[in-house]
Formats: sequence, structure tokens, C-alpha cells
Amino acid sequence: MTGLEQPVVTVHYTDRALTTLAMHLARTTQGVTRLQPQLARRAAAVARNTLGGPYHPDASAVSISREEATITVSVRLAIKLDPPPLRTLDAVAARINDAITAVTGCPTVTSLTVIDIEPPTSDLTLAIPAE
Amino acid sequence: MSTSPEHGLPCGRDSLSVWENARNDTHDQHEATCPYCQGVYEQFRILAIASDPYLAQAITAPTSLIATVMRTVLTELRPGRPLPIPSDAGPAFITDTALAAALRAALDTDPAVITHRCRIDTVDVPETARSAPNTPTQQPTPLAVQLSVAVSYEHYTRHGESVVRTRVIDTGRNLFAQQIDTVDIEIIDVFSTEVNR
Repeated sequence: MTGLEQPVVTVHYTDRALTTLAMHLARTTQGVTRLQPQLARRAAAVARNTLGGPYHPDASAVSISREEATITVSVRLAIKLDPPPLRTLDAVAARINDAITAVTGCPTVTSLTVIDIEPPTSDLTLAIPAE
Repeated sequence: MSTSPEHGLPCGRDSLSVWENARNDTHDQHEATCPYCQGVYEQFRILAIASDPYLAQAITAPTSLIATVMRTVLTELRPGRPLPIPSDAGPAFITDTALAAALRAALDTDPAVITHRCRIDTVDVPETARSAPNTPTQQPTPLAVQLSVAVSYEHYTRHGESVVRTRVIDTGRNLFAQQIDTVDIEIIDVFSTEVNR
């Protein structure tokens, strides 16, 4: 023993930290228009803000589960049709998988559910001028 | 001027109540002379100068407001059934309502067709073979699409059904790698594009 060994440092990322990370990565991926929390979970997030916020309501569109060493991230989101949706989904999953694996060292599986589509600018209702 | 997180002023007054008094022009003797309260008054005055012209304007809601709100509400309350999307990056799903929206968007580009209803069902898949969310292996389920459309009698040809079917199948396959086996089309109305011009 030299007494100079590096101390063992254990870093643990909470589910909340991983949720916020995944939320940020998903929202900033090209082709993603918004995250889509369930209504009840959005309400819970708002209520949580009054107790210990700040907590972004969009984060409730993300859930984290851990099974042994694997972290599973589930994200509900709305996307555009351009860029191609499959490319968008692959990009979101890759970004989240890579980032969470990098910070935690755990294999990560990201499960995405497309809840809504933002049609391209052909949304006719937007073209109707206000009366 | 500094305020505490609870909106308290150094003089003991609450900045929100002082702000409210400024708004209602009901200040008392203290607020008329206190520098902290006067600071709140000054902030209110500056904001009022900037915001009053806008507050005086009549608000006209866009006609699309209700549709936009209802679409958001219905999306949240009726998210639809998840359909698996094959992906190398991990499990992915699209709800049948979202896929229907994508098909509608594709059909909307055809001026000869107005889509009224788009319903998506799975084809002959036993309950036990249907994938639940978060299961590791995801294979696309064959789908059947039922469309109700109105068609333009100037532009819709006798090959129109074939065009619609092809567009639906291609959209499902190219955008979301979905296998659409059946496209049933019900023409419920005809319209004239000339009238709308």
C-alpha cells in the first residue's frame, strides 16, 4: 500500500437525470416535433413542479426502467414526415442509447412510440385566415 | 432592488400585492413614499407602457384553434394501438392513429381525393402473436386499411382506386416499413374542384 491509490468513486445517475438527458436528446433531434406525455403523467409532472421542481412536463413522455444491467428508455413522441421517419427514429434511438451508455456504462435499449404525425405544410386548416 | 423568492420587499410589503395596488391605482401612504414600493410601481409603469397597446387590441382566435386543440386532446386521450416498426436501433412503434394521419397527409397531395375516414386494422394475426410495447423482437404486422373518400369528378379517373391504393401502400412501406396488404376504398361523395375555385 502506497497510500496513493486513486479513490474508488461511484457515480450513479438517477432515473430523473437520465429522463432529462433522454428528453433533451429526443427533443433536439431533427424531425421530432414534440414529445407526447400521457395526460395523467403530464399532470403529475406539473404537480411535481410545485413540490420540488423544476421538472419539464415533456420529461413525463420519457420513462426509465432498469432490469439488471440494462437500462430501457421509453419515449412517446410526435414526428414530421420529412426527414424520413425511419431515419428520425433511428437517430433518436442511437443518440439516447449512445449517450446513456456513455455516462452509465450500461447497455441501453430505447423504445420509441410515434403518437402523432405533423403533416408537412399541407395542413389546410393553417392556411385559412382568421375571420 | 432585490426581492426574496417569496416576493417580499425589504420594507415588508409583498411585491405582488403592491403590483396589484398599482394595477388598481389603490396605493396607500406607505406605498406612495417607500422607495421599494415605488420601484415596483416603476416596473409596472414600464410594463404598462409596453403592453397596454396590445391589451387594447381585440383578440380574434384563428378558425383553426378549436381543431388544433381537439386534435391534441384526442391524441392524448385516444393514442391508438401501437404497431411495431422494424428498426435496428431498438424497439419502435407507431400508433394506428398516427399512421392514419401519415396516410391522410399522403392522400391530401392528390387534389382529386378528399379523405374522410381512414381506419387501420391488423390482418389475421392471432392475439398471442401481437407484440406488446417493449418486447424485444418487433415484426411488422400485415395491415388492412379502410378508406372513405370523396373524389373530384373532373380529375378522378377510372384508375383512381389503383392510384389511391398504390399511394397508401407505398406510404406505409416507405415511411414506416409497414406491410399494408389490403386497401378498401369507399367513395362516399363526389365534388367539383371547379366550384371551389
